[in-house]
Amino acid sequence: MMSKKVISKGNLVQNSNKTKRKLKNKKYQVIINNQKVLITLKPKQMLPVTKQQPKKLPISYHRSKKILATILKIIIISFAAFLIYVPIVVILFQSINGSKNNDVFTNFSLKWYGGLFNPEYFLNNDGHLSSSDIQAAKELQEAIFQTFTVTISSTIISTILGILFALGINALSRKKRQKMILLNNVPIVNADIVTAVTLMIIFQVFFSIFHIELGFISILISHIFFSLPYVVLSILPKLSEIDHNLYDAAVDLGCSPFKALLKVIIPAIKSGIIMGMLFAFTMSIDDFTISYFTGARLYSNVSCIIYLRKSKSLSPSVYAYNTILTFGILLVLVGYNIYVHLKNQKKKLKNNKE
Amino acid sequence: MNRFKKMAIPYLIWMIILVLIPIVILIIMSFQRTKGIKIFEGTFNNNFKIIFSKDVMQRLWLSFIYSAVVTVFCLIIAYPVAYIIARANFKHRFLVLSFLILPMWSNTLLRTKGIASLFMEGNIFTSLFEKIGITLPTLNWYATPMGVITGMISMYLPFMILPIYNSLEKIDKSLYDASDDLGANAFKTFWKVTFPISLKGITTGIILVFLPCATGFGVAEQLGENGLIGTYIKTQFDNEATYGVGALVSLIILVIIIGALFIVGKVDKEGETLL
Amino acid sequence: MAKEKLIELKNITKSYDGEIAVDHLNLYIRENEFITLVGPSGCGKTTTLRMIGGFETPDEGEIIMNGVLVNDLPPHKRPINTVFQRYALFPHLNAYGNVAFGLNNRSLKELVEFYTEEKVLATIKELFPNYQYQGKPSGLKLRKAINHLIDESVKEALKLVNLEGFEKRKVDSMSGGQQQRVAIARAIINKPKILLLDEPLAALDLKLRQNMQYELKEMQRKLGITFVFVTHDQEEALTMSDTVVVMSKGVIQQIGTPEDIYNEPKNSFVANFIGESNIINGIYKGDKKVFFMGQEFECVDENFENGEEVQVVIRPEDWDVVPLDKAKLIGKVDASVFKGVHFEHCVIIEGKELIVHTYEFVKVGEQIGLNVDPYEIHLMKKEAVDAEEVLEEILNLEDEGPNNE
Repeated sequence: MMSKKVISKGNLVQNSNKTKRKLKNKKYQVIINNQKVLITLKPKQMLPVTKQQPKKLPISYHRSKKILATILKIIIISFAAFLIYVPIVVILFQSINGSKNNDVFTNFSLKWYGGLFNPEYFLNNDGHLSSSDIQAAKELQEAIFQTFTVTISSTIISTILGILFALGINALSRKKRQKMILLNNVPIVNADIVTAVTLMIIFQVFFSIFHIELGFISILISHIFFSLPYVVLSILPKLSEIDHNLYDAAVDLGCSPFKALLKVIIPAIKSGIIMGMLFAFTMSIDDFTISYFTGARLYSNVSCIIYLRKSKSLSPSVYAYNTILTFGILLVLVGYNIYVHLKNQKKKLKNNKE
Repeated sequence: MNRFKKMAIPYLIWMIILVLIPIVILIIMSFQRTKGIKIFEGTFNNNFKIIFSKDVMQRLWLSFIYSAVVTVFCLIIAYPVAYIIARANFKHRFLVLSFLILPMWSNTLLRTKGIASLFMEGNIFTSLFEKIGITLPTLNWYATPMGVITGMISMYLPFMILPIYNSLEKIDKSLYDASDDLGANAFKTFWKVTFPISLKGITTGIILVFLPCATGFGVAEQLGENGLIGTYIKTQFDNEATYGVGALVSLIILVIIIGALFIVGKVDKEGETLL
Repeated sequence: MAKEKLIELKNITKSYDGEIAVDHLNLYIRENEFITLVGPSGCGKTTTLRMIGGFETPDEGEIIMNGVLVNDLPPHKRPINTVFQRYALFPHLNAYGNVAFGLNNRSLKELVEFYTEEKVLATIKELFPNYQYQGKPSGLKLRKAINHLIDESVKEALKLVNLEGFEKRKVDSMSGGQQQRVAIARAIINKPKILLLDEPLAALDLKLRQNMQYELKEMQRKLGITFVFVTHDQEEALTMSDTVVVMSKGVIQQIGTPEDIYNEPKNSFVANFIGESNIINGIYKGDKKVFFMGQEFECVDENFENGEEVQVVIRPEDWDVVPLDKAKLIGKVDASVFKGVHFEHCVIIEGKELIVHTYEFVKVGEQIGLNVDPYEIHLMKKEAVDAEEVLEEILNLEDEGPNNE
């Protein structure tokens, strides 16, 4: 039993909140009678803490082995990163090169970045460039615009269609569902070039009936075609996870079918939809083979321009474009990670307070 | 949610129009000499004679060898990378991974062009280093197997890392404990538990790397290699008169892919390999 | 029954990120014993188990097995096997592969030791009756004999858990109960000295769980190995164990047989956690008499000082309902629920609520007379003051101390 005398000998050993200043209340560990007790204090009552010295480990064989393993790990990852990032670095230097010849570095210049937004701008400032260079830059500008037009519209359309089709497939009986999934996977596992050829053929057949040439429409349909399976495949597992009664419950509580879909089903499969959208975007923005076959003559995206133009008639602004794209996405990524990190920390703080 | 069943029907129709009908046309075309796709005006032509020519066979073989080598190297590099990241006791694992796969979002052809320029005499790095008085050796790898393979590895490595990482990440940590508990040391645990479970990721990675390597033409051409099968198909479709040949080669590739998937399907009955 | 100590935990402390999970824990586990660690989630029971298994190393203290300190011994070198919480079956192997996993990990030499040399030689003779050898049999024949023995062991282990004929089944196509049996077979085939079971029944439904409780107990008796069982279910702990260890907040509250734990809880935590209890403040009057709720009762406890404050524990089923004129306590029934076998009444006496289980129906609002036999009254020492009160004391003493923030 604890008497008052023993209590007075309580030994403060640890201040258990790591973030010190922000909190109103602080927690302390007190050892009383060999038992640790956790107590909470208001700021006015804060106490001096006698620190327990952490024991230092001797450097042992075990530890040096660990350090060696860590170094080896870093070397392996750096090697992979080097392989992957060499072209990115080349493009970065080419984008800030003042010369039109992208194999010779003359001076630092941001004119290709400027040229990306306003091709006329660098004719006035740079006597070395001919009107064909401005033409090339304008062509690139158009290609970038066309790339994003196709990518954004195909991403949006394939996401919406993908949700609906996934719902449909999910509702099928097991056998039918498996068959549909098999069919759905065809464009994913098929070689790009075969997909491209088949699409070109079918477009030529249909478009010749209506006397339309392959161009924006055919490219858009192709992009939707190869993005859709990814969207469906990302959403299906989420759909099979959700409670079968979810939709019925929403309708039972007075939602119209459309509202139930929008308010209950969509939020439940949100992560799958985002995954699918990301896939669709990735596939579409970097597509070359399929766009090339299904209408590059009238409607070129950046990849087609890079492929079709010889180096001399390709505007170096394309390097600026790619660098902005890469680092823009890197920024988004880092930003997202920081956001998640901060959110987690906030949660932790909240938990600590409780 | 059974009322949504109807929504699968338009997808089925869409797939029939865009997958099945074109394949049927492709089959018809492959027996014909046509002008474009006017299949009803075409005349019979034995395209097989052209297909089994030395040129095509050589291209098929070269495509296979290149992609096999690239796939093996990608696997050798990607597996340890994915394994290290997946098993790291590190909070920002995902950030490291995303850093490695980030270039997937920048333009593949441009990146290939960039790495190809390094294989040629007088590239941007040699001129940069000359400015500070260092002469870099020239690689002279452009249009050589070395250059083509290195360039392709650089392009396709992220596609191998991602699926392997995903399969390793999904492994329940308690399986490692269980294996340890049942007397397996770290090495045995890897061979008997980790590796077999990650096989699905490896298969996906192989599909994602091998297929575009073997059948694509953009990347290879940027690296100076015009001798692959993809380039051949593309050339056939550049000229309306040789659509039939192009159709036949595409069909052959399709058959090979279906055959390969059939084998994969035998091994993995649940069909979970993809994604 | 003086059984030998198999494993001993001395002053074990373990914390994660500054949060203490196990705090100066002392415990020993004896041979052929069914010991259960029970407590609410986060009480440190799983951490304790994982330290015995070798998956975690304690920050402080010693784990001693057969007189040897084993703090840093990895799991694959301990004669201990575990049945994991969600079974942790290998999804790429079938039931057979999972069960054979442990034995397949051993070297040939270890396996000969495991099966004993005579048995292996006998098997060789049985498999190859015409095989002649001098000195030692060839490695190939040895391997074949061992494989045959492993095959037998796997079938035997699967039979023990009633899974004959399930060898080829993929584990993820099995039901929860079957998976659990595979997990048990996978562990016991290695003939461990200790089998650790981490809430293995938590995922099963009630009926299956009750069957498995019985089967596990049977299995332990048959195999004669020590089972260390972790659960948050107090009923499970009481039904299966020889020894129950009640834990809370990383500290052992009480160790004892199920009867001890139930009938003589050491503190209010144990009294409340193991079964339902009425805990009433009282004063010990000396000479086996205790005063509470305005009445004096006879009791059987006697090691208290005269006039000492005590806590009285009375289980709801220990109350006797008696006619009002014979009752020591008279209260009003505030609520009543039928529980199948008995009724649960909430009785209010002088503003204090008591839970009373009876077989008779009593109308809500009616008066009820209660009595309790001396041997049903269990006394506990008045518990330590809580943290808030401790704090007050410290503050009073250190009022003039420096304020460092």
